[in-house]
Amino acid sequence: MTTNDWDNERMELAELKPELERLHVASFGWALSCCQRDRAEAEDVLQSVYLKILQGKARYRGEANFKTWLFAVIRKTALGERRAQVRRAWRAVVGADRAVARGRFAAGPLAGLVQAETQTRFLRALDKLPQRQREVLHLVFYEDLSLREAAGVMGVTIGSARQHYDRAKKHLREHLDREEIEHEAHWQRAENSSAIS
Amino acid sequence: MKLTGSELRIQAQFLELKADDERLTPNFVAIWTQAMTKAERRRPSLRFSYAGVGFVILALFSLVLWSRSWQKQELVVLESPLPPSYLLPTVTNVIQGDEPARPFRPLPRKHRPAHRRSQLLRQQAVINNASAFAVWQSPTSKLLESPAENVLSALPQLTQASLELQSFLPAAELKENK
Repeated sequence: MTTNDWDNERMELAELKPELERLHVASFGWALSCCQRDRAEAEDVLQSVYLKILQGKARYRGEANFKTWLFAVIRKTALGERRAQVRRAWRAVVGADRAVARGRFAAGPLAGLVQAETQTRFLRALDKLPQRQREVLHLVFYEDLSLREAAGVMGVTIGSARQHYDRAKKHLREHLDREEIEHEAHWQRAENSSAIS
Repeated sequence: MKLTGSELRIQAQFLELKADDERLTPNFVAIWTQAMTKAERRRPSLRFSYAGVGFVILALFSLVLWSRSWQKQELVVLESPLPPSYLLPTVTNVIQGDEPARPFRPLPRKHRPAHRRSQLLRQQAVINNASAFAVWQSPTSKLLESPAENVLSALPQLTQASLELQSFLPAAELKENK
């Protein structure tokens, strides 16, 4: 690269940095969703995305909304990290078990303290959905994007995004209802057993 | 987008999740600085690798140019224009004695490269010597000639000899033999 190219790059980064900072919280939330709520993995993914932007491997050329472009890069990076993780897990037998445990709600006692019970049930129901359905719900309800913008992030057509959205709502409703029924049944059993004793 | 009953419920759950995630979000400056440090660490090695690749390409290019110029010089030597045939000595003609040997004359200066002049002059001397050897005759070659050379060099004619012998014999002997 010539000196002129480096100057142009620095200028672009100077303009991009404030935008990246403004969207940092939303970016982290999206990275969490892409990494199945694994906080450490989401941080790694976000750092990899910033590194790509600094190295010029990911360039915003103004073809779409900046947020849409950034979220698409985060999604692609998370998928790549996930594939690499799966490959590593297949190589080490012990690593396979840890990778599965790691991908679930930032496992540990701290997770139970931070998240309310309803939220845990909600996340459990969300986790049962296919990836595309989970993504479209997060982008529309969490990130407040339109369906068109969500389709751009996911790399699908607007029709396909709408289909995923409708199915996701239906399935999530079913899972949440089932979770509530199971929860109520569990508490009723607990109450009955304490009443008897 | 106007949300209906179940959608509002889903949105409420997501907003609650969002509030929790905001508390857990790491500091932007920390992550950005880590990324910048990694980028700076990789950049010099990338520069070195680009410089190395550039050097290799330059070396290959100069090698190709050098080999081409070397081949061109050889071609110039091989394709150096020969003098036309009428200027070359005709050795067969010299042996038969039909034509005298012509000395080799080099081409005019404008047709020859300057750096080949000395080589051509040496070749000219060699060719002149060769043509001189071809026409040389010994000064004592006359001594080797003899009067009976015709007889010695020709094949015997048997019928001719018997006819000549008959001319010596008397006529009576010839009748008896018949």
